[in-house]
Amino acid sequence: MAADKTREFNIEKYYWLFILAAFFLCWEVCAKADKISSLFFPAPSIIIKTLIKLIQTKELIGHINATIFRFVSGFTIGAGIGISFGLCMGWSKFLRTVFDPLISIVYPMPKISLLPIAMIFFGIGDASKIAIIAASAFFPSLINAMTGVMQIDRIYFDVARNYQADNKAIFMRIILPGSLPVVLAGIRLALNTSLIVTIAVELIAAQKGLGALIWFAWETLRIAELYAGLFVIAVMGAGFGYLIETIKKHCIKWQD
Amino acid sequence: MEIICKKLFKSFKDKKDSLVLENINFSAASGEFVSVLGPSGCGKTTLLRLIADMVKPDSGKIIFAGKKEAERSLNAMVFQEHALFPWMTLIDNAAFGLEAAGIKKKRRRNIAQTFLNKMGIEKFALYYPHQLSGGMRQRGAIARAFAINSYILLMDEPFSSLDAQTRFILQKELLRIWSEDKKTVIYVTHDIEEAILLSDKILVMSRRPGTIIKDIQVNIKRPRNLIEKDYPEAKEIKKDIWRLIKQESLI
Repeated sequence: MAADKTREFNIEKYYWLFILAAFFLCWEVCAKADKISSLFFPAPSIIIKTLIKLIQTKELIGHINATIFRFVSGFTIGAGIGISFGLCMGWSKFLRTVFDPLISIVYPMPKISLLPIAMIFFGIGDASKIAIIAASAFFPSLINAMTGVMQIDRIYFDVARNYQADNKAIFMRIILPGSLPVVLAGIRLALNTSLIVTIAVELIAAQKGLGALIWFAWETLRIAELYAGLFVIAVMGAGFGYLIETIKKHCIKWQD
Repeated sequence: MEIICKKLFKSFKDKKDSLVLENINFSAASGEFVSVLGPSGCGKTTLLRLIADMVKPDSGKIIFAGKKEAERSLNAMVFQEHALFPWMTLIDNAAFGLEAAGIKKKRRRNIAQTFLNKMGIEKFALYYPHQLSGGMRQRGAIARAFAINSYILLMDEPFSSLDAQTRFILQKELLRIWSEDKKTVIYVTHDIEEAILLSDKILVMSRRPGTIIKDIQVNIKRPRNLIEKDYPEAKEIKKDIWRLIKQESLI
């Protein structure tokens, strides 16, 4: 175990950086040499300059804030309800019997297609967008939380019952920790899905946000801004993924 | 605590007409070590779960006779392997029964620590089960069962997945810790030698539907050393049980 902390420097872990750098270098050279259309594929150096300009004029931060607000609130609502309900469904056979068929029907439906309906209920502002994002985070969270509880070996429930643990103890000491790895996998899925939906909603129906930024850049042929927006989205997605991995490492010390 | 089982019948509802236990009658005196021996699938585990009140019999009665203090729980079960919670450290596992009983953290840790000491695994208190060997995990499971100081100890082939040496050591450890306060033990096994080594009494069960075909008293003085010494009684009992089991398998 001590060896984990003092692990030697392993060059293989950084190969991805070389591949990425080579890709951008290649792009840069080709664009500068006019081998590819500099209108549609502006050189990375130009994209970086555009990005810096967007940061300096404070335009970008407004878009980022709008996106993060929708994403975080939608995700938190959807995943929160999804996980809670999923844990209950994993625990209770009755709830599973009642709701599993309904979930199987609604789950495969692309949530973005429900945006018009959401607008009827919640108006054309942020509320309808957040509702759609929440719906997209809800299902993967729910299904993973349910699976997470169901894959807990029955023997642990037997042990708990044998020691006369009450429902609260069973929930806190068995259901929660036992399902946590799968719940976190579900959170990761939900994060990805709801980020996709956030950007998609903004592409369709928003004035602010990274999706809107990309779409306006495309319509006005400011392609470097488009790439700058994509770059920020990629960083955001990776950032949230990294956050989850860190939480996972912190919370789950009991697996191999 | 004395256990008296009277005319126990049990069948499983999901499969049709599957009687598991048929007319089980026996008693275990207070402080007696009773082994239940029988072929796999004969309902040994079901009998244990009936006594643990985890399932109800179709008919019949289980009587627990003897003085009962309000605080002490009736039974604790040691399961086959893998029954330690993988997400808890060894000491939290050992303290689980106490935690479920609502005992404060500091006190239950102290008690659990005592039993980890008794089982010789105090150094691994903060380890998770996946970092421990099978033998150490079962030591932990025994510590967990003893920690709640129940009247009865129920054991479901606790050492069946261990290698022979580890099993031998743990059998001795179990007897040592049991002899300190003589709980009534019901010990399920399919290992004849193990039953003879451990028990005051052996109940031999038939194939399914399980019923008790013989009740054998083991009057060999403890401590027993079956490996180095020859006990004529042990040989007799072994022959006796073999004969019964052979008959069973011929039917």
